Amino acid sequence: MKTQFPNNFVFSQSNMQTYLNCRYKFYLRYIQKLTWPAQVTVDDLRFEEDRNTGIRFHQLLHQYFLGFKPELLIQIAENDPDNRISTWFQTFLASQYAQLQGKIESEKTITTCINDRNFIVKYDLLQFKDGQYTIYDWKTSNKVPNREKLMDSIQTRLYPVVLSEAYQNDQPINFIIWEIIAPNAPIVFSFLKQEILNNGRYIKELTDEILFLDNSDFFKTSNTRQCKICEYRSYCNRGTMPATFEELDENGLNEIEDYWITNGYDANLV
Amino acid sequence: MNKINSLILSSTNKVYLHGDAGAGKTQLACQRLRYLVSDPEIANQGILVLVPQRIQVKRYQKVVADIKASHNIELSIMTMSSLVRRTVELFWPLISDRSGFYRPFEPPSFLTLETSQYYMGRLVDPLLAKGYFSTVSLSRNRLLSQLVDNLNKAAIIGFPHTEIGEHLSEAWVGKESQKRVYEDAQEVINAFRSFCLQNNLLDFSLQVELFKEMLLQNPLCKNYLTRLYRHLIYDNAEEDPPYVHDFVSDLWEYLHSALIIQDDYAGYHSFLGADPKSAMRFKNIANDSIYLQNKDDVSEKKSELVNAFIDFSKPVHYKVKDIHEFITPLNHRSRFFPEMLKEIAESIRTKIDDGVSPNEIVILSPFMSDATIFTLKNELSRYDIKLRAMRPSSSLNDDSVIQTLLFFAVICHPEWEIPIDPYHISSTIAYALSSFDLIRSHFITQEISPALPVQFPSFENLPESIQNRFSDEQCAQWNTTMAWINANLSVYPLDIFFSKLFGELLSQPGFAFYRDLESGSSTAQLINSFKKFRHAFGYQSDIDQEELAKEFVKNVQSGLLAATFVPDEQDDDDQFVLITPVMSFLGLNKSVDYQYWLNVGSSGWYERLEQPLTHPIVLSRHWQPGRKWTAEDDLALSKETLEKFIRGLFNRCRKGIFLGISEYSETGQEEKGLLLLHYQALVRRALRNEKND
Ligand code: SF4
Repeated sequence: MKTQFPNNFVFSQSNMQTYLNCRYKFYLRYIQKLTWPAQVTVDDLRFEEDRNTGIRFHQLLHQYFLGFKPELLIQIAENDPDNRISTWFQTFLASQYAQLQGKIESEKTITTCINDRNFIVKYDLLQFKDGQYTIYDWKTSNKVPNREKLMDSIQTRLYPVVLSEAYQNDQPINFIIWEIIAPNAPIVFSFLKQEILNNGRYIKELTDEILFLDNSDFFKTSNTRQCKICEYRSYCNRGTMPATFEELDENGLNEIEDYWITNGYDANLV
Repeated sequence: MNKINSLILSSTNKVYLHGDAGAGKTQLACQRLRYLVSDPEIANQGILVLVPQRIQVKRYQKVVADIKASHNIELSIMTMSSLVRRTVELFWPLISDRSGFYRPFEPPSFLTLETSQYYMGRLVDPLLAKGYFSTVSLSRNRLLSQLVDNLNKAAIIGFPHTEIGEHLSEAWVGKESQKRVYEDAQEVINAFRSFCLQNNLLDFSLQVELFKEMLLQNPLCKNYLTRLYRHLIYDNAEEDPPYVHDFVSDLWEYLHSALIIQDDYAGYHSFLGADPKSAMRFKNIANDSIYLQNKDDVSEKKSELVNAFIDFSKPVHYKVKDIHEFITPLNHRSRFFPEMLKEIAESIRTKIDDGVSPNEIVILSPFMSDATIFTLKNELSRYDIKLRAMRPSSSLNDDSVIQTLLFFAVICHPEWEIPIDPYHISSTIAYALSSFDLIRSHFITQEISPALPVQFPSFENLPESIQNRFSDEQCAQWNTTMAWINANLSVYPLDIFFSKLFGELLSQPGFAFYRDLESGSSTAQLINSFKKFRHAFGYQSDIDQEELAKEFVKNVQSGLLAATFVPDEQDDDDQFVLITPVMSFLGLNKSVDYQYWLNVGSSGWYERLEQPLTHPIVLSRHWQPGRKWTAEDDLALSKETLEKFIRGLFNRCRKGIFLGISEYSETGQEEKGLLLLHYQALVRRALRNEKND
């Protein structure tokens, strides 16, 4: 039977990544909208705390780019309950990113429609300088990112595509991923127009595939490692206990981040 | 219509649009939004759609999603409380050291209504023991909610919170002892505010005050807001309190365009500070004003009918059968309330058999009891009709899934020493463990020692004669349950405990929540509620998790913590008949073909709730200082409320209203409230007409 997609379904980096990890999980989470609040890892509390710390750090940078005085923000960072924030903020102030020129848009959400499909993307920072856009993504995941994996990730492919479409931009787009624990090794991508078009084609094919599947094609993943970090474990009868921190790889971490985005208690704040 | 279109399809004018409910105002607002977001340049300038209630957001979101625009759209669709909260959170560093907070550079904790009440309770309890509030008879929860409400009123109306007691006292005409109660209230309110400042807690009133008094005066913040929002669509302005209108007035000169929509005769949320008079200011400052009326024949007839319904002195030109074409009692007059509910179910079945879609039918009452919902659900299910109850203020503890989770929490936290009634033990075990029945769970309950804490026996500790009464499957399931309990004693924080309990035990095969969709959302509600409770304690590392968890459980059990109503996809589900309190339905801004009214004889349709600690009118911007609130004022308010409700409901009904009347009400009384009297008077006048003919 043809799948009934919710009206005006909006594709995002996280829901497409979920689809790639497990089609059934995508189906349960985004089509059935099944709330299933089992633990995702044995250490959910730690993830929640790390995530909240990450949110507060992103907010500090946002305030910085809005024009708050750095001395005031240093004081805020120093008084944060998590002392990593102060170190991170000092690292940021000492970096080249504290001196960005051009038109700056921080915490920018863009919604757009490409090939009749709605997309939403949240950029940490957009810079427009000398006729070119640069996307910045601040990461606080405590893991040094792997360039090859990032290159293939949905985020890296989707962000420039949406930007170029929404701003009708034909120029190359830079994408800088800056992980706070590796401040001197930012990962820099430069996408030429043709690469953006190729990625756009990839996104189209992927969304085509998702939209035209029958219900029965949203099958359970054969990679049972995914089930260890999935809230639907009991629903699918795929075990009792969640993964430990040691069992998580980078993909797993992203997956959990995605879970928190969907299920954070303030996710529905309107 | 062309003139209206040219005013609506513009990005440069400021328009005030008002009229009857159902006349198409929101439709025009959607057209305007479509027009604004379709133009890439305007869409990029920043659009704010402001609505008084979360549930109205979806309609506008849908407009945008349907447009399928490839350009960027800078759009925020939100309620004012959300805008306030986000702004305060973002600009906190700019104001915190000038607002009296003891730890201004630390992050604040935002309180919800429930967590505010919780903290208020901590301040009130020792005072209750000292005899404060001794002359009022109110449950603790209602006392707390009225105190918090007073603080919120001061903020949204715009007077110092230190003057609440004085305002209430000045208007009071009864016994002098009541004035002492107002003084008590003022003392607690002052203490609460100091407590918030000491602990970086931001309740709603403090958020609003910071927003109005500090942030809107701050150039960086003001600049941010005025650049973010260049175009405004503000729907149902009459349902918002005056501070929202003040904000929009402040924004006015910076806006490129504005469309303000007001529903005439509404302001249903006046008890929460909604102020239609204050919203009317936009009529004077807008460049253009549009008045929309329901103009078709049916609407005109309905409007005549509603006028005659409301005003006893209005002559009636029709016959009884004309009235019954639109508003009529059910065919058979029932003696008792449950009988009448059966009649309603039967009548709904007929309608659906005739091709009416279930979501074109709504059942309304001023209040909603569990028993009514339960009976109607059962009656309708006999005809395969699904009923959806929307009760915004139901308590978490009303939900059987949540009761089960709390039950296991008590069992797994023996240190709390919370007692459980034996009947509850038996019924919960029989419900949670699918292989069990009441007899088997009763055997287990009998073996539990009456001393606290409640502790389950392991299977091998049961007497052999009892062991023999269990099947292998039951024995295995009991052992699984006990093993899980023993491995999860005293797990904190409680949200993690609930998550484990749900995922590792109760949603596993053989247990009650296995593949049960509703149990997932109920559990998530409980977990979210606890998280908010936990977050309200901020970032203090020395929080006593045990105390926190126990307090939470006690508060849920006492009904203080409400199930937050989150509108979801089901709103548009045409498979369900909706049952909801009148006020919630009016807030939905939706019309249906048929309405069924329950408890027609009740005074709940118009009487103000008994609120000895607060007052929606005295604490409003239009109250003259020094005036007294008299019995005549009360009567006038009742009439006004009833009129508003009747007009609102008529305007939201396309085809017909059915009155569920029984000789004895739900509570066994013979009720003859104003609504029933109005209806009877209308019919009597029509009968007189027929006789005269
Ligand atoms: S438990 Fe496994 S199969 Fe089921 S949805 Fe999750 S990842 Fe997919």
